[in-house]
Amino acid sequence: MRNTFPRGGIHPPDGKELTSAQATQKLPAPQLLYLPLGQHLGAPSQSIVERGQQVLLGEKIAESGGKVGVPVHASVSGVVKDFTTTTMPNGTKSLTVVLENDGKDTPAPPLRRPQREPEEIAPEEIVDFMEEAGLVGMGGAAFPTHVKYRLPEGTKIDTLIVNGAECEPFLTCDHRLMLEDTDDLILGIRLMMRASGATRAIVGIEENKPDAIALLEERFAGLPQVEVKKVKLKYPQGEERLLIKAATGREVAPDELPSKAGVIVNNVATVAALGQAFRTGMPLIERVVTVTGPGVEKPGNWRVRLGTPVEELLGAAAWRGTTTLLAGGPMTAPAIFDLKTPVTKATSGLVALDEKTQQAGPCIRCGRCVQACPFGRMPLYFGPYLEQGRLDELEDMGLLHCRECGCCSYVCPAHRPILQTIRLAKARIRNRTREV
Amino acid sequence: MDKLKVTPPPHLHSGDQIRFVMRDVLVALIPACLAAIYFFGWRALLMLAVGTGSAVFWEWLLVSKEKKTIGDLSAAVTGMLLTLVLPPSLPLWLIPIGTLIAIGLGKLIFGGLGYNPFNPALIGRAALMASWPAAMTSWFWPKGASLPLENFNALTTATPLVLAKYRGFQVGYSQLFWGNVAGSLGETSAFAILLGAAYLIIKRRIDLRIPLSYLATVFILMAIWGRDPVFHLLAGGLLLGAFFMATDYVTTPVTPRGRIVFGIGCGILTVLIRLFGGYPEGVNYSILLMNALSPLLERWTMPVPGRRSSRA
Repeated sequence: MRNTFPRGGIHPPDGKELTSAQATQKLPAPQLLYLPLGQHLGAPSQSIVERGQQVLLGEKIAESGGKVGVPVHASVSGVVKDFTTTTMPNGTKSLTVVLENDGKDTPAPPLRRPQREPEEIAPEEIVDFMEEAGLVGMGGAAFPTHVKYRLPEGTKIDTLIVNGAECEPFLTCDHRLMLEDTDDLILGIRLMMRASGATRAIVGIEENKPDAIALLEERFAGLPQVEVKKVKLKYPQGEERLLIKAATGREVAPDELPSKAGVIVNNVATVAALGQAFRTGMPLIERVVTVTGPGVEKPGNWRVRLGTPVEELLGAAAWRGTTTLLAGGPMTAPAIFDLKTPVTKATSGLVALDEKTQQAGPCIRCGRCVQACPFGRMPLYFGPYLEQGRLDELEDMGLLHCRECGCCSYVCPAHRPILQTIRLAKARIRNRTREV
Repeated sequence: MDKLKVTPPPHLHSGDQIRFVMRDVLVALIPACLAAIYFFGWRALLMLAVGTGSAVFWEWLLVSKEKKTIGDLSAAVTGMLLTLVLPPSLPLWLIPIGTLIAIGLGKLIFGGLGYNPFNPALIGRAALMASWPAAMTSWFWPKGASLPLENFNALTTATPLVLAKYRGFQVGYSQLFWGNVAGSLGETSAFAILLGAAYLIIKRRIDLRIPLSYLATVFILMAIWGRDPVFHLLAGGLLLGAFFMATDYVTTPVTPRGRIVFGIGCGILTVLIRLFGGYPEGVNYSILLMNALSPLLERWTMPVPGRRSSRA
């Protein structure tokens, strides 16, 4: 049997052929960059620069805003032009530092880091470095990486899982990264194993990326504790818990963290970013973004400075002007409505497509959503129960533990907005919990 | 500002639609319709046209102008299914009455498709059965059907199940399989029904849990009771009921285990009615009774994966 999760899942058209064979290109840094202070989960960063101040490439411009937080760094050299509010990919607003690029890319002094082999560095030093480098989960969650590695007392991690599944249709940035930044990926794996205490690392890759699997298998030949696990092509194979199940066979209880099962999971982009930052001393100032979809004439992967407005990417990819622009993979990403929305640390893609929305019909209880749910939930009940205000029963049905993969909405022949209902219900339950 | 459409994820869809589901059911019923025409003549075609057409008409008439729902094809499915479980000699004027009850009282009165607790086609048939029992139980054998039995002519109004129950005579398997026997329009040919069922299975429209547990229960119980289990699978409305009525999404449990219990329940009731009931056939009422139990079965078999979050 091939490695995968046991139930549910879907096979959406993947559209990866548009970009998977193209080498990543560098997008020139634009004139103006917008660096949001709230581009990660947790406390927004606190600006430490003033209007008109000169900054260097990689210089810290905002301090971490709290325990769950990271600093933000200048992604070009130039001048702090302004402070403003920008629209984030998910539609919220964030205070933003506007940088005017001087075009010189004069670098700041590199981040301090021990010049030793990863295996000889104290784990805390690596974790502190993750924080200093501004590292967050680049697969989409934007959760500060160092927080994940500051493990509670008594937690023992034995396995690092590197998420290279990239199950979202259309996206190929992680695929290209595995092919092109293999050295940084390996360095990142060694650092993260050291930081977590894991004795082995498993890179989970969906079987539709045979070149990446072959390359990494070859490169891991000298690293007996690191292995590639080919996982079945099935959405949402890259979901954290499902990948843990596929890679290790372990199940994480719905209300527990993966660390409880001795596992820590990071996206390949995050791992490679750590390797790159450690090698160069340059904090996180850029990332690879897949710009693709039927709505662009020149789809491809671009290495983009953080804070670049998406309109720059659309220009490079020759956008045709579609009805919908998505800041990430089409199954889970929010649609954006502002072309000035900046690329953030968690922006994995920009997908342009024309969306035809269908009027929702009545639920005919066909059970497709039940079959598709990888977590064995009963999505058809969520809508009616929410309408009837039966929040306790929704909780009993495990609604809060829904991972929002969207399989239910994808298969629904009545086109009911099930995932949206779930999000609404979660918010209602949480608000009620707060009121009590 | 830019004219961008903001929609919630996911932004991809399988493309499936309710009317595609219904269309597949209609396609799956074509073999049974053809068999009906082949065995019972052009009158069968006329009945199917009246049944399907009147069901769609009632749906069109009874639903307000803004919400016309005939496009989802569910009324056509109900009309066609109801006609297929009617005797071929039924007076034509009874058919629109049956479809009116099926569509109006069986479905729309509850709020339309998705809200009806009972299978509308079976509601229609049950109402006709209660109101016009004589017309609903007069049968004829297809032309040229052989029945190696004395005073054959006196028995031409009996179905194989009636013959088995009251005369102790059993029609052969192959005749039942091909459908060259007396019975409701679409129920006689096991071959045609299985062909349609195969289509639904290939199209992944039905879950085999209900039909298989239903058929297996009938088979096992009949065998235990010393009856010919194969005969009881092939005769009467069991196959059409198991594959096309008991698999109706709206009126059956959605949980996998609930579906199995549902099928077993239908099987037990069908056997009880066939062996001990006042009727030779019990598929119709078995499924309706289990429809009533369906919400309860679903509740009992609901997976309980989540834990309630600890609230302060």
